[in-house]
Amino acid sequence: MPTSSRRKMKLAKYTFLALAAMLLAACTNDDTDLEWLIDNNPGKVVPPVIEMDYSDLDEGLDVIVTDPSDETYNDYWENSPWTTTVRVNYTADGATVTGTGTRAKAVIDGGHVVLTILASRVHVIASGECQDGSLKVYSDNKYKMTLNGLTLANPTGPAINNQCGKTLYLIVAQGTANKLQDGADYAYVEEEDMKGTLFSEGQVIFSGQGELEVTSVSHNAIASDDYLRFRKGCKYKLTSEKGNCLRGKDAVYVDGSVFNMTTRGDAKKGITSRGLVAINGGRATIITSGAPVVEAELNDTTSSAGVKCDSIMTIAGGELRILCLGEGGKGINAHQGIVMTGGKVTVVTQGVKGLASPKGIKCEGELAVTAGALYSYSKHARPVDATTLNLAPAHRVYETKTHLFKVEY
Amino acid sequence: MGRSKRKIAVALALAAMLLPTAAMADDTGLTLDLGVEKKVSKKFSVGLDTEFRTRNDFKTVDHVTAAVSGKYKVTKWLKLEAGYQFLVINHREHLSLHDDGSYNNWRPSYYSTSHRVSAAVNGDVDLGRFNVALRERWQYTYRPEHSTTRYDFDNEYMEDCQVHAKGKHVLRSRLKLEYNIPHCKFTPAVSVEAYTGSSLEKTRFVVGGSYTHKKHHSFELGYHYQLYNHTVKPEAINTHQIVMGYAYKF
Repeated sequence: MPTSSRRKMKLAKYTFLALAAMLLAACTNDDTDLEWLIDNNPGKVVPPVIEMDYSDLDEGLDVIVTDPSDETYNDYWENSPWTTTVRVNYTADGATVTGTGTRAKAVIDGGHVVLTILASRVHVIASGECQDGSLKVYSDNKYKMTLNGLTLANPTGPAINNQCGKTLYLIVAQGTANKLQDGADYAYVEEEDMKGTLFSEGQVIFSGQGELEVTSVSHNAIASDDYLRFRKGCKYKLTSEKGNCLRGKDAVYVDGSVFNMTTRGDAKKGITSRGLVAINGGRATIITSGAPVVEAELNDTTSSAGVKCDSIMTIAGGELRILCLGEGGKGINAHQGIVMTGGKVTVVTQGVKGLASPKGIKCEGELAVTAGALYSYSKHARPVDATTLNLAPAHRVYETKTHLFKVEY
Repeated sequence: MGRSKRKIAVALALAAMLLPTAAMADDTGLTLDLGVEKKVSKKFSVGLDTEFRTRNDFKTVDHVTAAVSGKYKVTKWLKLEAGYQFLVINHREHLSLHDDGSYNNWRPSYYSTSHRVSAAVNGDVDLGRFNVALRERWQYTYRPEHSTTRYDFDNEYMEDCQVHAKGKHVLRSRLKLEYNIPHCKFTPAVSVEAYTGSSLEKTRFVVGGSYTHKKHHSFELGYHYQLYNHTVKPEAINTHQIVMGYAYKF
């Protein structure tokens, strides 16, 4: 073969080999590594960790309102005299009641006590421990009840059932630990409501400097068909497997205290009210994990929430920390607006979007913020969904992202 | 090799070396063409052509095509062309963003088929040893609907997604200048081609030439630079392509 032909053959061979090598090399993928994208997403937000916080809270003195014209004057037991003391003491075998005299009468069935208060100015002090007991109270007058180291579990209904429509001043005695628990199945009484482990027909004003743990396996932890007010000084641990932690039909006022609430119920809430919800102080940590529920009759879906308020929600002080883990679970769901004039609110919703959208804050109405610090993060939905967002100027921090809303004054 | 051939070879080699380094962020690939052309009559010829193109610095397949075409020589200076091309395209990954710049969805690269029909008018004129040619080509590419997957950053899972069917018209306008070197089988050429959809989408610059051996064998070697109009296609990557081709003509 001539030299030039050999050269051409050699050139053709090397060209072919080079092309073959290039074709083989062209088998790789040019996609960006997904893990890298996830880690470097500019919108990635690392929300604060929200977990139960049982630490002490320095919230100052509980100032008692002494002005009779003040609308909260009657919410302070200190403004009324208490002349009769009825003691209810529980043991493993049953209960004893002393001090009733003519001003009250008690019916005792094992550990189950039905106390009928016949006069005003009665102070009930409950203490002891019973795993099959309860305390039901009938009264036409407001009264005061002190939990003085009470552990009470009722397998068939509320641990404390207040059928009095007037004010119940419930005091958690200083330095005491109190535990209330209901059962899975309630034995209902005709024409009587029983909506939780601690249920009241009338308003309940909580005060004291002790600890109260309320657990419900089937209903609400604490429920009132009127309003609930919490003063400074206590520590509350509220847990409900199937219901709300706090339900004040007409309103819920949190003026102080430390709250740790957990609800695992579908479509259930940490705090819920058909009326006002006012956060004025304290520190409330709420963790919800329930899934949404379809209300077939209303053709609507209701989801779990840290706070659900059918009226105006106000935040003037304190700290509200909400973690929602359930599908569609909302941090705050307010139907008529939110007014924030102070305090600190942190909302983190981690639930996925399904039947309901897991918004951080859903506000049908105006969300107005003039002071305080508001942080809302929703992993899978909008952090804030408000009809109107009204932020006072001069905020120190303002940040909005797809899943984060933050404003601080 | 004659002096003129050497000069051309050196110029091509320099262009191939220097141009890619001018824009390091651009992509580089290789285009291989293989074709056969049959002259049916004095005025009419048909051809079969395949193309293989890589990207990502030669490491990833960009597309593979197979085409049939016909050419009709109306006059010495005017030709009409028409053809059909079947394309298997490796679509690049796509990342969509939210308004705040955070990631919304990421669709990894995927293969799909497309169909393309084209028609062209090609006119040329000799100016001494130069030949100036202008080609206007209309092409319509149809991509059928395709199922693929994407990652949803909001919900943190891969989900199925449909890439909808799409048709697109493009007008390609090419101006080409060739130089006929006396007694040389190699013909150098430069060209510029504008791709216009709803507006100018990209421009292709070509430096190269063809080498014809015994009238039947035609070899092509060239360098392409595709410059995208990023106001229309912000995510498109400018590409450098080394083009090697062979056509058998009979």
